[in-house]
Amino acid sequence: MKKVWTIIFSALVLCACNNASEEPDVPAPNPPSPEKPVVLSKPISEDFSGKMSSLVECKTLVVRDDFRYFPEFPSFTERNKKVMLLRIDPIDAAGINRGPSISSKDKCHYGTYSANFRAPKTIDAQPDLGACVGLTLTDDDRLVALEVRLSDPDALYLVFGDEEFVVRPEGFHAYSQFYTFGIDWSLVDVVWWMKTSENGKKIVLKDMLNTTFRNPATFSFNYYFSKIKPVENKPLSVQAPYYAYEVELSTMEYAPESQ
Amino acid sequence: MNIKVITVAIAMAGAVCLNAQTADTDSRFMRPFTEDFSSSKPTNFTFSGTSLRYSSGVSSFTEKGTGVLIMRISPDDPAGAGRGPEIGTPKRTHFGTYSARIRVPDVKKVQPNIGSVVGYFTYRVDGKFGLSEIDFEWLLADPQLIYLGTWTGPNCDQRIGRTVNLAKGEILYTIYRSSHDGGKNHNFTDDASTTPKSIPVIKDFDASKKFYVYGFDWYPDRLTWWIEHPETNEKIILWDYRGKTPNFTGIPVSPTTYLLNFWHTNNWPVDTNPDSIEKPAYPYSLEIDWMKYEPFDELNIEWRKKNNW
Repeated sequence: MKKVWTIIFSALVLCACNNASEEPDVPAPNPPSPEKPVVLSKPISEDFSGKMSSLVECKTLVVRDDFRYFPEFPSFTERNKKVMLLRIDPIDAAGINRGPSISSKDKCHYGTYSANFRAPKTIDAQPDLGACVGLTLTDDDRLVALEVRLSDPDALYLVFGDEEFVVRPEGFHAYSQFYTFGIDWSLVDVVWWMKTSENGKKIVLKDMLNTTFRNPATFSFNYYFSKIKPVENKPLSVQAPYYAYEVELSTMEYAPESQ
Repeated sequence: MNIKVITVAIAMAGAVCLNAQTADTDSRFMRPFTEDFSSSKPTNFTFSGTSLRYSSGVSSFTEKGTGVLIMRISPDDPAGAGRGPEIGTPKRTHFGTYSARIRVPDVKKVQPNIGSVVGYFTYRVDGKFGLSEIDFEWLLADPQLIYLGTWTGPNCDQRIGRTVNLAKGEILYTIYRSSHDGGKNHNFTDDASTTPKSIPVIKDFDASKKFYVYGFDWYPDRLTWWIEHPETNEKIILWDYRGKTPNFTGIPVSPTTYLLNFWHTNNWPVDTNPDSIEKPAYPYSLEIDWMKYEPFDELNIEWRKKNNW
């Protein structure tokens, strides 16, 4: 009888492990900590031309050498500009937060979030690459994101929880210049926007009213490989990277909404 | 005892005098150097073309704690030697030992048919002596192979070459050709041209998987290409050439310049893949840790004197 229970228990454990490996590549929710008061982040303004502030941190690997972050790196595409060069690792696991990721140490709340970056042009080298890059806000159970997906560099993917909206701004190619992408988050709405480097004019991509996104969230810049996020009209675009393509991140900012 | 001390002192003084006599002070030439690319502008090399293709004094993408020069090829580069990023010495170099620590880009998975060359070499055409070129070359489509050789002659068409696969310890061929007989390849057979007859295996050798130290020793009548074994640092001779062909020796003699470049070829596929002539689909990165030059001053002074150069 004891033997039977052991077998059943082992089977359950095995089953649980297999399920874990099949989980979709979304971030694991942080365990709730109701007793601990939430510490809100100060305004963040990183330009990566010098030492990073203590308000953000790079997620690093513990199991192998980490060749993901190259701060104060001279831009490959613009003269006299220093950037945080991020390299995706072809042997990284799939999923958000599993590639290079820079996050606020503390939670953030209503305010304006932005990142200025240039995506690599990978469409010729690997048309079905399943790599995403952009800014994200994650609370305990929801993701709000503005992403470039490298297999569809003329589009922006706006994510709100399980909903996804694809916009194709006129003349937009994510690799052609540094763009500023942003999210304005307030009590009444969430607005996704972008600015080109030519005129700096804010182009609203989507304004979502009356959301229930209320809890303080972690602000991150993520560059990762996904095997479950193919781009529009390209169902096979979920390949792991075959080369360590580089993203140039110039700035990352958070301005809390004035009370 | 005193006699012994005096003898040693005289010998030492003589050595100092000899060194003083043989130190090459000709301002047209580079002095010995090791360029470690630790600053944004190298001391001993100049860049060709836009500076956006070069990142000097930056951290290696692949080796912890190593500062490097990164050179990026562009998908828009036209095909042809020297039409991609290239660095070269501003002054001339001549007989001596040349060495460098290099890692070529690993693109086999992303673009197995790439037609791209990394060249570590010397090059200069002299009005009287013709071309003076010595090469180490890698074709990215198969980084287990190394192409060794020279180009010489007034028409720049006299070639000697050896291609090796170090992962297999194999010499693919050792050849020469020139326009004297229509540019046909001929296999060298004599000992002076085919030494060593075999090369050892370097386990898992792949020029794109790690940094290796490559070098050559250039004498007026001898050229030796070598690699340092990554574990033992032992110098492994890949080709010790002291031969000649029916019409030319194959050993350059005149002063040259010292270069390294990265370019797209659309007509030189790697021996193991005839389709490898595609233009690069992404600006892949080449990493150079350091480059060194140790001239043979006595030989260089003597050669210039003899040839009124």
